[in-house]
Amino acid sequence: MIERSSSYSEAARAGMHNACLQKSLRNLQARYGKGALDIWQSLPDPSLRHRVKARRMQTLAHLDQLLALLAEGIEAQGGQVYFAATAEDANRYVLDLARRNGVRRVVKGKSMLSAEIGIDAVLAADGIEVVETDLGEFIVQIAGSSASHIIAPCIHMDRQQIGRLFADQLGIPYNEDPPTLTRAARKALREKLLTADMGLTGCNLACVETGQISLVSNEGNIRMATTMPKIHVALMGMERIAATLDDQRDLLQLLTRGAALQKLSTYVSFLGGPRREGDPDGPEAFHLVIVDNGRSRILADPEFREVLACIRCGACLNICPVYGRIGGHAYHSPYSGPIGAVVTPLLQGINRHADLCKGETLCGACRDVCPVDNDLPRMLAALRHKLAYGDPAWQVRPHKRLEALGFALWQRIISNNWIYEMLLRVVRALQRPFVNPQGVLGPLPGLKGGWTEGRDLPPLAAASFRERWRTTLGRGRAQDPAGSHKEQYHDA
Amino acid sequence: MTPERVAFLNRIRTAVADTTAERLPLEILLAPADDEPLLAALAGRTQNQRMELLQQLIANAAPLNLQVSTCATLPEAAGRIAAIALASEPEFSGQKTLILHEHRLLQTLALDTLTELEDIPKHWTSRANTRVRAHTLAASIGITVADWGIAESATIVQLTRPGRPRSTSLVPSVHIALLPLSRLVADLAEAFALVRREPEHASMVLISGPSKTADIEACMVLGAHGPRAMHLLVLTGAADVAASSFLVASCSQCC
Repeated sequence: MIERSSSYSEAARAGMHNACLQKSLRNLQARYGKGALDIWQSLPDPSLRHRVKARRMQTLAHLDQLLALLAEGIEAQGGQVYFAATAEDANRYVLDLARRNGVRRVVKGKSMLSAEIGIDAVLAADGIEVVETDLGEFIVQIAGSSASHIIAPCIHMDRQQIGRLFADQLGIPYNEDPPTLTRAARKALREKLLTADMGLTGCNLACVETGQISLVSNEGNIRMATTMPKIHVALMGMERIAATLDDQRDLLQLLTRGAALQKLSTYVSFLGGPRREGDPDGPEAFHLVIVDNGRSRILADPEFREVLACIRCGACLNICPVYGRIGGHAYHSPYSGPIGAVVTPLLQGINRHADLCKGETLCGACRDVCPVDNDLPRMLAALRHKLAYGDPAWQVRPHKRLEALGFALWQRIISNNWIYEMLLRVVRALQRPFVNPQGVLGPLPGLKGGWTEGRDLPPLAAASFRERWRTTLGRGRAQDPAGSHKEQYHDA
Repeated sequence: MTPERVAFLNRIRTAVADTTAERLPLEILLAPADDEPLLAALAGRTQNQRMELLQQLIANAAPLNLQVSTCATLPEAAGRIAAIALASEPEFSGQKTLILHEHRLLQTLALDTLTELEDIPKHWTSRANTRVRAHTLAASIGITVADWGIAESATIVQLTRPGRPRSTSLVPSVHIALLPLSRLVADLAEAFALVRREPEHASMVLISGPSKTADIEACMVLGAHGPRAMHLLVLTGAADVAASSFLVASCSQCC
């Protein structure tokens, strides 16, 4: 289990040494990341992702009007809508609602927003029992751990660990057979689902045209949590909105394909209010809590606005080489992987989460697989720029003054050829004792340890290209008056 | 509007102030797609084309563990339901029990008269039944009629209506859904074109197979919280004709 207080590198190292996690991540990425890319390449309409992205951005440009209309639509069906500017506002609203209705037990459908605002602790502090019902979320909840993947929360645990956990917490004989373990959880959670006073879910996408939110699940826990308790509360990130039913359809199909290569998830529920006259079941009250909690600030910055087009499918986690090695806990956020590395700093502080954007490689795989065509590498680079130079608009201080000084010095050195070549000669002499038999530089002492501990570097060559050009390569070509070679080398 | 709502929306308006020039009138932004071509295609679909869709549905259902069978007559459908009921094991209580949507198609099957099922209690989710919840929790099999089926994703569409609760397809261990072939459409776009003509419903669910999870070591297990088995009985031929007379579009009171 990873402590919340551990640093990015400590948690990353723990992830890399967790054999079970490594095996699961390899399987996950081999299947889902590549699978999503294959689906995008074989779409009957190859422009779908671009079109949907353009529509997402257009929707965000009208977000104030659309949210007002959505609220009217929900209220017309007898539902209640609360606009929560902050996490505290959202938590207070739900807690008040629970108190007013004497709620003793809350069953949750999987919701990352609920983790973002920390509502479980708020309800629990009031003596209310809060039960996660998605199997993976339930497992990490009773283990006292946290989700390490957007759609596979307990990917860091193996069947033996889960077997021991269930033996401890559910009082069943130790077993490590996934169907048997699932049945044990099914039985335990069914009782909770059928006796809870409140169901608390997220919201995948709300639709303005129909006034209905949609929720996807494979397990059926979200249908249970939205059908059996007398109150249903849905937490919605303010950007998760579709103008028309057709927009909602396009987005849902990209969501389920990106997340799990499914044409549709097993269940897609559409709901927008309490049960109606004559309806035999469904909740007596429906509350939609629309949460800002830092999103309007992202919306206001054109450099990062497109990250709000994200539909949280998790495809970028399934392809990212960094996430694929370190796992989700290093991100210290409900949002892990490349999307987490962009959205977590923007929501919770760029300096506070400075390691996230630096840890990613900018390889571009997340951009290729993103169903809404988000350019995450561009935004990661923009975050690094802010950390290097500071940005008062985002309250960012330069992350490492010493590093900034170092780069300023480096700029001086490489703009003067004489100093640069002097330095090359010095380093060539100094590196000699550290070149290992394989011909690479191993770990270096002192300050350089951070750069070289986890990676091998090639040593400086005996002669630089410029030196070789002067002595051998350029011989006989130096007089070439056309300069065509020069051009080519320049391009290369 | 409450002050917090006004402030919330104003903050957003300020955030997107740079897009003011690109804003569209809302009636254009919200203009629904033109469903007429889809509806025309549906209306013109031949029996052969429907049978092709059925083959697609069956192929797409297999990897989802959705068990599809076809029934050419209503007695055949009743017999199929009886066979499923007899082969099933009760999970949460010692007794096999059926819970059925209040639907004329299901009533016409006359399951009460089948001798194979005489020992199995049957409850209806009728508006007169005040114990629907208790009957649903105790039931081992839930039986519903789908509003539409979608071939592309092996999905059924169910709208909540009076007498047709959501829990019937969710809480019992086995779900049996009936689908007249004439209600089978090609894809989600066609289904939504039809849904759009039914504005009066509190909720809707799309179901594509039994409940499942792969949260423990990516090992697929059926029956996480919902039914562990799902059967789709597609009514063809005479059964389709008989069933279609109970399924008049835009009418929730007739059956």
